[in-house]
Amino acid sequence: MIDAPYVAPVSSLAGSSPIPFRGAGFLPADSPKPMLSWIATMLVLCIWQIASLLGWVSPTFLPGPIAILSALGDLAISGKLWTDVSASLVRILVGWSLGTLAGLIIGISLALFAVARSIGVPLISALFPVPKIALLPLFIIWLGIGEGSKIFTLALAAFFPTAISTYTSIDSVPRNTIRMAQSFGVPIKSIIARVLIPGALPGIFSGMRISTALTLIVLVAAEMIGANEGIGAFVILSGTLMRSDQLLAGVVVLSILGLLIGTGISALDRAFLKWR
Amino acid sequence: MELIIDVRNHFYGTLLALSGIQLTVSSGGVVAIIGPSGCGKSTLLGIVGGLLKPTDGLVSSRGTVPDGCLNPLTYVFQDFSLLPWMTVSQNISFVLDHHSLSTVEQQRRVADVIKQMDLSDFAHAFPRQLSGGMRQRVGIARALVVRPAVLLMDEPFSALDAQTRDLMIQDFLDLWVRERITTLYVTHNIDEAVRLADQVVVLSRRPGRIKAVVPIEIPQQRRQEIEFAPNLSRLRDELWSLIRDEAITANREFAHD
Ligand SMILES: Nc1ncnc2c1ncn2[C@@H]1O[C@H](COP(=O)(O)OP(=O)(O)OP(=O)(O)O)[C@@H](O)[C@H]1O
Ligand SMILES: [Mg+2]
Repeated sequence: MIDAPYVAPVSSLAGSSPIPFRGAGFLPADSPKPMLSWIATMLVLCIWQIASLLGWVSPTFLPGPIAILSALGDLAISGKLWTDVSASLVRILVGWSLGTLAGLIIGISLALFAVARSIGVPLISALFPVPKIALLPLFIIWLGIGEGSKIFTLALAAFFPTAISTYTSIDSVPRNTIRMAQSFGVPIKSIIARVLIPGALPGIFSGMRISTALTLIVLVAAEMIGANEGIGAFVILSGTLMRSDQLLAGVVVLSILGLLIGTGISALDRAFLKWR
Repeated sequence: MELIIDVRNHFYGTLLALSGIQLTVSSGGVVAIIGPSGCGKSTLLGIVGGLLKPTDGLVSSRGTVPDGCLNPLTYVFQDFSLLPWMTVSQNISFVLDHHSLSTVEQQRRVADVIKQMDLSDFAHAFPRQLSGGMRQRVGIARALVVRPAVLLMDEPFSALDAQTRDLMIQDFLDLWVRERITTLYVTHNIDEAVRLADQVVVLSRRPGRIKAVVPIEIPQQRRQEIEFAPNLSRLRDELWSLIRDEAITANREFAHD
């Protein structure tokens, strides 16, 4: 015999009232609308362009998007763009890498060794809030006006957030997982490499987001203080020449750079943290 | 392998957690430890497994270990303690990697326990993709892959829902009947103790001392049979009355802390 499916008896709705819908949280109810974002962006750019075409704002005060774009094009053709971008890129790459490497090494030592921690943590906490750019003049006295002092400042800017995020995130790896590894006799080197560091990686990556943003700021500031090449130097020079179009072209390049770095870290994130 | 436990005292700072624990776990036996929360059950297991040094005491072992045993005393953890960035099979081979097994032997061992624990479809899944019961099966597979002589289980099923726990207990019994691994088993659950153990050790509230040792002579495989139901029910009552007073007093002490 086949069981008939259960059918719930329907009772009369007389005298009842429907329960009203009260919301589903502040989550976007349906799929995102990429078209809408594009249209909005285009609209803002169009209004801006029209405003500058009609002469509502003077081009020195705020040039229109097309003027900025053509300034960017001129810079690309003349080759000036590439010298500046590559000078900045070399500085940020070398400085950030050195600072990050040192930060990782120091951060791991702080997490693992009580001696390092008692010496290092107060020192690092005291120095972290110092705006690193304020030390550039001192480093110029030490290392001269060349690349050395700028790269050192950048490295320092990257070092502190990395060291702090590395040691705090190793610290917050659950003790139980370490005890588990110890209970199976896993040697300390493997515990560091395969338990502590992977467990700390999400925190280390968020530290890197902060450190790249900081180094970008310090880079521009350092180049504004004393450099012949670099996007920061170019922006400040355009300012003194009242060339707002070139100045903003430089800013556009900087935001693209920031965007690229962010995308790069997100890609690293996805590659290494796919277990989350 | 047989365990001879003699923990005279164990202190955390000035807090006496355990006192006068003398206990022998015979080879192939299952000893359950029950007692009120905070009485030192995990502490005792930690001392036996060599994760804690007793303030005053000694744990020794006697007898042979199984063929291919790599880690005689092996834990199964209450919170499973899987590494979330490793797949199921990586989590299992993680505890073999530092031993000098050939790649073939290592892969064979991992494949064996994965099959034994019914995890074949999930060998390459990450822990977050598994249910609680499956996670603990990975925990048990990881413990079995080292061919342990003694299993130390700290409330291994207490994070699971009642039905899953029931199935896991049955699975564990089947395993134990096959392999006869000496087991020291901490639990809060009297039913669990009565189904698995051939000896139940009742600890008093802190400082944990042995209050009673209750043997259960009915063979584990036959405990579901109806003829033993009255016996087992009497045992349950006896155990319950042994820990009830302790639990009530312990609770009162907590309230005054
Ligand atoms: N690392 C520690 N430092 C200080 N005190 C501790 C530590 N670990 C445990 N204790 C104390 O020792 C006592 C016994 O703890 P333990 O974890 O062994 O109890 P338990 O019987 O396993 O409890 P539960 O049933 O809740 O798991 C408790 O009072 C606890 O507060
Ligand atoms: Mg416990």
